[in-house]
Formats: sequence, C-alpha cells, structure tokens
Amino acid sequence: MNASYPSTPRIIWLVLLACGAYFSWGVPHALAQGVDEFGPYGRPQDDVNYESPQRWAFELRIGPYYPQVDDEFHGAATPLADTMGNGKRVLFGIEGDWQALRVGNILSLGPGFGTAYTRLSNPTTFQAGAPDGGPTENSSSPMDSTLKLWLQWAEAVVRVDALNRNFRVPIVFTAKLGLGQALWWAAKGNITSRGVDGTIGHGRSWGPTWALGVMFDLNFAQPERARKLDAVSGINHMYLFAEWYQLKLNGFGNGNQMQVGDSTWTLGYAVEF
Amino acid sequence: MRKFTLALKLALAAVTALSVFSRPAAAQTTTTTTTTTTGITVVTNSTATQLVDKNHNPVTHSYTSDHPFWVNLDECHYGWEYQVSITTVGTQNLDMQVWATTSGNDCSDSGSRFASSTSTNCWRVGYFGSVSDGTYAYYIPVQNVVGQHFFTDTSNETTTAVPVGTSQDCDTIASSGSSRTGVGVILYFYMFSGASTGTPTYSATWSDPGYDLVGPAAPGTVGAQPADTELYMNWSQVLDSDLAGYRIYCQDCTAADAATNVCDLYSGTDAGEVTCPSTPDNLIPGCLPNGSYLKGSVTDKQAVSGLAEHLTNGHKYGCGVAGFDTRENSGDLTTVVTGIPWYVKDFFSTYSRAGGKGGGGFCSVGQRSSGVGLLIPLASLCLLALRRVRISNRRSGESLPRGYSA
Repeated sequence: MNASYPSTPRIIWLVLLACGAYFSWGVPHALAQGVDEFGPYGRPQDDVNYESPQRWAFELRIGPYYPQVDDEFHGAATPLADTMGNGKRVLFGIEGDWQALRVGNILSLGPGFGTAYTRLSNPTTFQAGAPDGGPTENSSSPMDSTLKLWLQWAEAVVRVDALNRNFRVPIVFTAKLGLGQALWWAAKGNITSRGVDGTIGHGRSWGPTWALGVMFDLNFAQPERARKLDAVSGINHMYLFAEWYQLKLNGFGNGNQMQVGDSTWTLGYAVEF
Repeated sequence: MRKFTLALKLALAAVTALSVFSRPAAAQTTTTTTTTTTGITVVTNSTATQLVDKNHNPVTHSYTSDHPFWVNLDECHYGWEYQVSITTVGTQNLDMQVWATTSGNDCSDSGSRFASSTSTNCWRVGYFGSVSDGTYAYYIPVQNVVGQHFFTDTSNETTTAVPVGTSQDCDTIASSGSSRTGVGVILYFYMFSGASTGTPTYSATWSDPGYDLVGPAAPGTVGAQPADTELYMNWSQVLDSDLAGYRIYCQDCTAADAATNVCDLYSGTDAGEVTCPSTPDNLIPGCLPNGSYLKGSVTDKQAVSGLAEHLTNGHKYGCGVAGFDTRENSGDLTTVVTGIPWYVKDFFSTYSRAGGKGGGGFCSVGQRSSGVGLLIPLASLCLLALRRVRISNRRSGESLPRGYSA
C-alpha cells in the first residue's frame, strides 16, 4: 500500500472525512487524512506526530464528600454529625472544559463548567415529649432524614501539559479557580423538612472554589492506538486524574447560608478532544 | 381473459377500500343480535346507546373500564340509567318489554319470567307501551337492572308494571355475596303479538350491561408505626384479580367524642365482628370505610405498606386499610390499629434548633457579597477565548499539527 498516493475511492473518503472534520469543529483544516483498517493514512505523510485539533476536555468524577455544615457552629453543635453520622458520602460529578486558549506547547486555558450530586441519609429517632402511648424519646422511627446536594461550578481551568508535549512525560497539571453553588434539599421521609420557626428545608449556598490536580496520560501506554483513536474519533488524550478541591460554599462569609461545601479529593477519567 | 382478471382485481380493491374506510370512527362496544328488517334492533353506536344520569345527560366513568356499561357501587347509588336506542320495523305498535338475566338463559320461556324460583330467572326492567316504528331512545334505570326484583308467581303474568330498583338495592346486592369481579347482565327486548305469557314475536338482545359492586377482600393483617405527622402502615397482600391498590383511612380519636371514635369503640375488634351500617359515619372494622377519613393511598396492587399522611403530631389515630378494585369499589376495612405521630430528630430540624440560619428556599441566600467580583475575570476569560478562536479560525493555515510549520 502506498500511503502517499491514495486510490480514487480513498480520495472520496478523504474528502468526506475532511468535510466532516471541517463542519464538526468549524475550524478550517488544510490537511486531508483518512483511516482504514490498517490505521491512519494519507497526508500528512509523517503522521507519527499528528494530532487532531483539541478544544475540549470532559471529566467523569467520583470521590468522597461530606458537607461542612457543622463548621457554622464552631463546635457548639454538630447537627449534621448527630443526625447523619460522620461518614463521607460518594459524590458523582461531570465537568466540561473549553480549552479556548493555548499557549504554545505549555498550557491551555479556558472556562470549565461542572456539576455533581450526592445524598446523605440516615434513620431518625423520636424527640422527647410524646403523650402517653406515643413513641419514647430516641426510639427508632421508620422515617429517614435526608440531605440532597446538587453542586454546580464555573471556573477558569489551566492545564499545564508542557511535560507531556515536549518531553513525553505523561503528566499534566491542572489548576482551577471559580465560583460554585449548591442547591440542597432536606427531608424527613417524603416530607420536606422544616425548621423550628417553619423555615422550609431547602436552599442555596454559594462561594468560591479552587482545585489542584494531576493527570496521567493513558496515551503513554499505547501511543500507536491513541494515535489511531485520535484519527478515528478525534479524542486526543485520555487521562486518569486525581484532584484536590475546595468548595467554600459559605456565601463569602454571609452567615445566612448553610455551609454545604467541602475540602476533599476526587478521582476521575478525562478525555480531551 | 386479461380484462376479466383486471376487473376482478379492481373489484377486490374497491371492496377492500370500502371495508377499511367504512369502519365507524369509534370502537363498538355493544352487540346487536337481531338485524332483520322486520323486528327490533339495538342501535349500538356510542351516542345512541350509553350511560346517562337521571336527567338523561351522558356520563362517563372516572376510571378506565374494560366493560364500559358496567357500573360500580357509587354509580349504582347515583341512579344512572341505560339509554338504549332501539329501531323497530313492522312491529305493529306492540308493547316492548325489557327483561334482564344474569344466568345466561334467554328469558323467552314464560317460566323464566314468572316462576316461583328466582335462581335461574329473569326480571323485568322496562315496559314501553305501543312502540311505533322508527328509532327511539329508551331509558332503563341501572337500579332496576341491579335490583333483581323477580315476578315470583304467575299472577303477575298480565301486569305491565316494572319493579323499581332503589339505591338500597345496590347495597343489598353488594352485601349478598355478589361476585368481587363483577356480573354481566343480558337485556332482552321482547314484543308479544299474543299473550305476554307466550314466546315473544320479536326480540333483540343487548349483553353489555353489568355491575361490579364489591371491592376486594380486606387485608388479613395490618400494623402501624408512628412517624412525624405520618403513620407508616403495613398490611398483608390481597390476591383479588381486579385489585388496583390500597387506601388508608384514619380517624382522629383525640378530636372525636370517645363514644363514637374508632379507637375506643373498636379496639381489639376484628374485621367482620360488627354489623355494618349502610352509611357508616366512622371507621368500622369489616365495613366499607367512610371516605372522609381517607389519609393515603397506594396504586400498586403488590404493595404491602403505605403512608397515612397529614396527621397531627400528638393525636391518637385509629387507622385501617382497605383495597380498591379497578372499578374504584372499596373493599372492607381491616381491623383498626392505633398510633400517635410524633416529632422526629431529622437533620434540618436539628440544624435549625441549633441556630442554623440556612434554608428558606433557593432564593433566600442573603445579601450579595463581593464574591460576584470573581465572575468578572471568568467572563473576561470567556470573551478573550472567543476572540482568540475567531482569530485562529481566520488564520486557518496556522492550525497545522504539531511537527509542521506553516
């Protein structure tokens, strides 16, 4: 097979692929490249270093989470620990980043948007003071107390991939800074909880968020396959990553918000395309 | 020969098209057995033959029914009527009698209409004198059909009277061991040119009516666990084939007079130990529940638990469970159990009691703070990125892959 001079049908495929790439990404693409069962072919002749345009990153995230509600009371009370226990819950999330700016082979910069969800639940016990024949204090109730958290954030994301691009060390560093908020719902059984003054048990908390992370480029293990995958699907890199982050959802010190943020870590899988 | 084949094909196509396009718009739910040009025909389209109220306005069920002309216990009490459209041709202005049976015999035998035994007999549900030729609507009260008032001796053979069914008949039939899954009724429309003791000269049949007055059996066991403004009820499953779900009824014994409240009167009483009044004003085990005490329902026939909701903490409630069927008939109430809802230590009430200030809805986040300022660099970054991409797009030649120079 002479990859430099593709046959007529291949040229048609090349044109179609090029058109597809053009209209998919909206970026004029001067190159014509195709792929068959043997892998990428056609121009550029030296496809070892070829990469399709890279503009986006997508992350799947999973990690422990425990809202710092009790921080509001500075040790005077621990309502969350008392009713939900101290165990961390699992937070599932996704994030999409637009790598809008690229600074040489050093870093990319752009906005990112993410969302995540977790739920805390624990059986309740009865309060004191029931009339004769009623439940006794601290006896088990069939009701569960729940706190649902839906987190969202928007942030500026810097990905430093100089090591990966220039020295083939498959490590990328990330830093993020932005704003986050959480919508939360508290319930007992199927009933929305209410405070002692009748305050309804749902609300919104917001504040700054920042994160530092390190990503391991899976392309390092199978570069040839990664290159084929890029040619076929446009996925440039796949990563496993770990990230420490802090969601300081206290309304920037406004005392009227429940502090449902946390300082914790997450593991995840990411793709760049 | 080819022309003949072509003509045959065209004819077949025309017949097929006619058969398709001449179908009525609405599905037919009634049947007509007499279609002779001379005689009686039941007109079976949805507006000619239908259920109507006492004022002859069309009515519909509040549920989906596989037998649209069957009625449930409540509908029987409402006094609905069957509006049946009848076409008579060449019947010489004879009187028309309408007879009903559930047994499947055709009522054409005089012995079935005027016999001493009611076990396999028919009962008269309508009588219309001097029926003129043409198509007219005739109204037959549902309670006449349900009532089953038989002529039990032959002295009634010449009467034109129609035994009138009542609302009480609905309860009587319901409590007399009627089928839980319903009973189909056949109506016969007869005209006699001779004595009405003989065989009818003209006849038609309408087999769509029926009634289902009895709900599912009561669950065998029931229990209640107190919660916050709720009672968590559990019960044993009922296996009736037409079961649609369960309803939970609770009576506030704290508010009620001790002489009438369910907690005092029926404590320890099992379902079926009490004689049921026709219109119970409180909850009685083994009787149809009073709907005003409905506190919860479950529309899952597999369910064995559910919630009695919107109760008052600290009040003592007597509660029971009853199944209901696909025609919305309630079954009998279980044994009554008691419970006292009380406050639980849930997260948010504990948080609030500790002095927490969060909550109050998604918009109550307090005063805006300087944190909004963080949005400015983020928005600037987005704008900068957009500009950069536009420039990049214009210089498409620059988007060469790594390892190439422009």
